[in-house]
Amino acid sequence: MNSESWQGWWREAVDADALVSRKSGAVVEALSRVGLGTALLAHHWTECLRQVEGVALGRDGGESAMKRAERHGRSLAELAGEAAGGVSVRHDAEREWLAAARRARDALVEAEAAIEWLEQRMGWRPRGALVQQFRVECQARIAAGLDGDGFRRGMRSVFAGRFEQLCTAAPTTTRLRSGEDTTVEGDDQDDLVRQSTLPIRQLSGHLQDVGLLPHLIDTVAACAYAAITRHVEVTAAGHFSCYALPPLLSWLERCVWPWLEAIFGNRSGASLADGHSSGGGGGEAAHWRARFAHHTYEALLAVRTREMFDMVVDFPDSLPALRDVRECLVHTDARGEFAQAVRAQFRRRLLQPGAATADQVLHYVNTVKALRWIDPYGLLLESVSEPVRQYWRQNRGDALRCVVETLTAPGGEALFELEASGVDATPLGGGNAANGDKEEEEEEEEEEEEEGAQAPWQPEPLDAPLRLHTSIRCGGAARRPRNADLLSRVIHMVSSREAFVAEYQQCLSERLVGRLQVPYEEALQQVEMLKVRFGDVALSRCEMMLKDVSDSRRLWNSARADGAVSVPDGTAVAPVIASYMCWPPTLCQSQGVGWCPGGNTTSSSISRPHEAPSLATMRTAAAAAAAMRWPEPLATVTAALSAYYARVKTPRVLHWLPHAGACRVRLHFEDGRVLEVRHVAPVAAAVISCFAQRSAWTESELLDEILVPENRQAATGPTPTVRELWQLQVRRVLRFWSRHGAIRAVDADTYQVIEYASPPTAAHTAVDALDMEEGPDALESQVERLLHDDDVGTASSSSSAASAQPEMLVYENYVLGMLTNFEALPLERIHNLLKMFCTEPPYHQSPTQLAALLRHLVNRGEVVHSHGMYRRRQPADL
Amino acid sequence: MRCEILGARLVAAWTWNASDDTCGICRLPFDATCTDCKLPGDGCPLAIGQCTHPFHLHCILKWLASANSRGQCPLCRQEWQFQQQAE
Repeated sequence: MNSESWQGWWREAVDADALVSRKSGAVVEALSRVGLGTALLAHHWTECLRQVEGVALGRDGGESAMKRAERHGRSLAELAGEAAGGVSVRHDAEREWLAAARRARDALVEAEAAIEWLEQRMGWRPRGALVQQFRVECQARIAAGLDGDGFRRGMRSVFAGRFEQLCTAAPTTTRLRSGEDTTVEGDDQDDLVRQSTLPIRQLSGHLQDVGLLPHLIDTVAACAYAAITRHVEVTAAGHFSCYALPPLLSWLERCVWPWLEAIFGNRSGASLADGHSSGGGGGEAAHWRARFAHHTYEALLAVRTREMFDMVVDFPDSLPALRDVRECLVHTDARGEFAQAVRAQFRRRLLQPGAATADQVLHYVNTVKALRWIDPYGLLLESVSEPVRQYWRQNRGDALRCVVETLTAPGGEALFELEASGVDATPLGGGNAANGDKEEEEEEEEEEEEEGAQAPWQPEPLDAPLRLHTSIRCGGAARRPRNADLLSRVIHMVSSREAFVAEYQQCLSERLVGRLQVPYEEALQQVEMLKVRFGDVALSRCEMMLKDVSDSRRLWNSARADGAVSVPDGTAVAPVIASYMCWPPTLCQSQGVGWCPGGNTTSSSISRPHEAPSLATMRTAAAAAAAMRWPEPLATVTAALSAYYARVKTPRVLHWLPHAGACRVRLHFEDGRVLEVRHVAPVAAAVISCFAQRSAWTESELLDEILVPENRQAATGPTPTVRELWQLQVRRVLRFWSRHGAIRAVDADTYQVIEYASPPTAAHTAVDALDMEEGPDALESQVERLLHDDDVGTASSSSSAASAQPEMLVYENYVLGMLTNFEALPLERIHNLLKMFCTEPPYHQSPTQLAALLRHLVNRGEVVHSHGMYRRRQPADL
Repeated sequence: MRCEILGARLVAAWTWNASDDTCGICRLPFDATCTDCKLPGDGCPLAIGQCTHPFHLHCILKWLASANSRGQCPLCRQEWQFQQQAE
């Protein structure tokens, strides 16, 4: 180039300089407050000068151009930094931001125009490249000069404010409503949305121009996440009866998408693609939508997880909420965390000492239903069940009882879904019980295979923990029927199926004989349903009990028709004649009192049911008579029925059981009080009818009165006599009547009728002995269990509790070893095992003696006696 | 005080009134059933021979039907005759 052309270049450069400075002068003034403008200007200056300088370099006067550039550059850069620092602090209101952003954009546009001019004049090729470069550098400079945190904070409040506004402005119902006016309304709503997003659209447009929008992506996202979380919280928390997911998704559609659209607008492709690899604007929008939708699922899941326990408590009503959970679990990968959270929650809220076992059972049943509904594979349930199972087995000896009671209570069948058809009928093998677990296990495997053959095979879900598989394979503690029906599952939680059936039988026995009205039909139906599950063999005894009841009814009717038995008017009598082999042993004996099968009521071997009976005493005429003298009119009825039975069923005889059954007794006192008690044992009726004859009795007089003569002799040997056992029983009865205000103790063992109550009480009181006795006793026993986890209280107070006989002590190690190997054993089982295996020295002792030994061990703290089962004391019990 | 018993559900247990508790053939209690039966009592009655030995009816019939019983009571080896029940 020659010098002439250089002169031209330089002149032009200076002109450009002047032009820019003139144009920018006004802008600088306008934007001094904002800072962005200044920053832009500063950049513009430096850039311009550098370009000019670039032109001038290598030619004459280059040095002076450099100097100018440096001087301007330095001072303006300082100015820019200062101004940018001020921006975010001062301006957080939206309008100011909008204004500032607009001015910044204007300045940028202006500067670009100047540069374009320069470019044009210089014939720079390709055209626009310099502008592009300028813009990028300019944006970088602005961003670098900003106080990032403050700026984001400010913008966040602006966006959030706009978002709120949009939410209130947006239609509250989904746009897709039926009807012809849908489109019109839809358009209206679109307009509304467009209007309410207009300011934010402008602001984000300006920010985009000055290059700040990409820096705000995180802010926008955080803002949206927070808004979604908040909205989910408001919509779903505590509302179990609403399926929250569809409204939430439509809310996203209505509020969040337009808002995002407004912010990232048409440029979404360009702006959002900066940080992400996906191409195309549509893909980008989809990406963001997916992210927000996912966040919605997560937030909803979090809310629902937190309230999982309450949802389970409300179970059938909370199905919509559970549906949310199920959907959310499909869309998020949070199964593991969910299971863990629910498990922890149940451990905290269900398994606490204050919760009654019956409630726990009820809640667990609901849990099974709820979790199964969420996760048909049952993995979730596995993880929640394990701590419950351990807790129940260790701390709640009454869990089995509660399960049975819940089942037999009204509505229990529906609760356990007993009506459900197509269950796997797994007969309880009567024969293979001795063969132990191995066979059972094989059976289970077979079952699994059979199941597999019926239903098409489904793979385990991917998140099935490996541990679970292996533990199922290997058997052991975690082995359980995973797809078993509800009842089997609950039974597995508390005990074995055999124990359940035994407990059920016990409960059925109480229902059949303990009330005046027998729920025969219901019981029959229930037993039929249980037969489907447990097999005919397991429930054959229950069936027999029911048959006894119906046979007794028939016999009673024919006896009355025959005229063999007459019942006074106004007395409703109904007998149950039991085939005692099929009934639980408690039917015949309670607290050592009662009739002893194979033994004899008149001998002192009453509490030794397993000793070989002495046939001579067994077959005396007295054996057929009751140990107790029955009160009238029951005495006549029992005697007559015994005679009738002996006649029609020779050579069978009846033994009346004075502690089983129920009487309804009404007492009339001198002061006009009437006390009516239902469901007291005949023995209580016998005692109180003694008081009707004479107003004051001592304990021993009472015993003499109600016992048949053969039972009256006092103790002579080490084992308690019939009389002693009866004494305890009578004492309980006396306490019962005193509690109800019929009698009171006047001295140590004399009781007297309260004919005149000192404060006149209600004229007519009706008491249900079942309720009265169960109430406090149940509470007591629970408290006791909490304190000691054993119920030796009544047992150890009996006469022979003090210490075991020395000859029994040799069996101590056998017993302890046995209890170490088995989880828990009833007295009878221990007795039988000893009989079977103890040869050195051979075991010939009676269960009473064994019971004494066990009490001794209980007192020493080595064994725990709880609900009829003995087990070794675990460290956890202390 | 006057005491009225308005109603009662009385419970009794029945036993076979025989000279033994268990069947000499199946070794099961008479109050339960023989090995083949399910229903005790009427379903599985007792049979008493003139030798006074009682067995489950089904047990003794099975025994008598077998070739080597020679129609004898399995306990005392006397000829088996059913005792007349009606007295």
